[in-house]
Amino acid sequence: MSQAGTPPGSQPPTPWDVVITEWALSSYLALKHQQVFTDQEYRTKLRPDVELLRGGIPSLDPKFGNSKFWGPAKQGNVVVPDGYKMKWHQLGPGQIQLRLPVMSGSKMAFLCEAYVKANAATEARKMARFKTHMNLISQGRYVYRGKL
Amino acid sequence: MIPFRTTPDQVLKLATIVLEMEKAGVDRSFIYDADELARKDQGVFDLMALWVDAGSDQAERDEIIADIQESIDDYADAPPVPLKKPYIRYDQLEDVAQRVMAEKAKLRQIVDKHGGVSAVAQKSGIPQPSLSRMLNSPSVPRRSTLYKIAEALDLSETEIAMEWTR
Repeated sequence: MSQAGTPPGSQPPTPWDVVITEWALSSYLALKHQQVFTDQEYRTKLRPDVELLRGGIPSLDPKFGNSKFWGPAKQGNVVVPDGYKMKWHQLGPGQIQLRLPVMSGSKMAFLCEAYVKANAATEARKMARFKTHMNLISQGRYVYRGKL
Repeated sequence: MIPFRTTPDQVLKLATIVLEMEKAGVDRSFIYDADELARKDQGVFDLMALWVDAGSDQAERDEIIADIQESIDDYADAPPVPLKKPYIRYDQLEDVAQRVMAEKAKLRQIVDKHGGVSAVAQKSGIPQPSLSRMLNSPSVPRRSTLYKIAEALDLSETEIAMEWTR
């Protein structure tokens, strides 16, 4: 439950850990170098949006009710359990669509490999890669590069 | 627990995919590694099925081969327990990317000196699309990939060493 959804007088819930995996860091490195998004977009949009995950999944923040911003990860029409996508539209000079796959664990949100949604083929490949990353995370076999 | 384990039906389908990959001239040791992993990891199975679906779209097939190799490497390089490595601040990312690209430019010269990407890919056993992707993208290279190149080209540790590896 997000702090926005905490009833008056009750204790705020423990924030979730938002874990930056090596896959997330590596993808951000490439996307930043390719100028997919601007520094201002990172500071004012991307980072604050991702920080909302501290409120947990599912979040009660109204933004998460917008399917253009947040939704389940899907391979074709099949929902990937515990997998989600954060979505941004018309970013950077290329006006691209950016996607950040997020795995929900026990009070942990794992950020995985962000990508530009170019077409359906890219989306299908990235979802397949996400499933592999989720398998490795569920076995504890991942590299942790900090948390937000 | 693996949440996305390949189903028995998918394992059966793998036999057909493997035959098609072999017919298309994909390296046999790569097929072997991919097949072995796809038997347990549904993400890798999905990629192999997408490779078939891509049909005559060679560019897409190359991207999928590079993705499959990434997954094979992910498993090979994965630590047994969560491994903490230092954070890189956002304002340092571009500097890191510039340094990585400068080092990759040097590696590119070495690769070209040894006959180019295709020749080095063949000698090292790294799929050609994977080697191209690694050389052209600012992502931090895997140490295991650099060692394969070093072994294939008989290079010393200092010749292949990079400041940023994973």
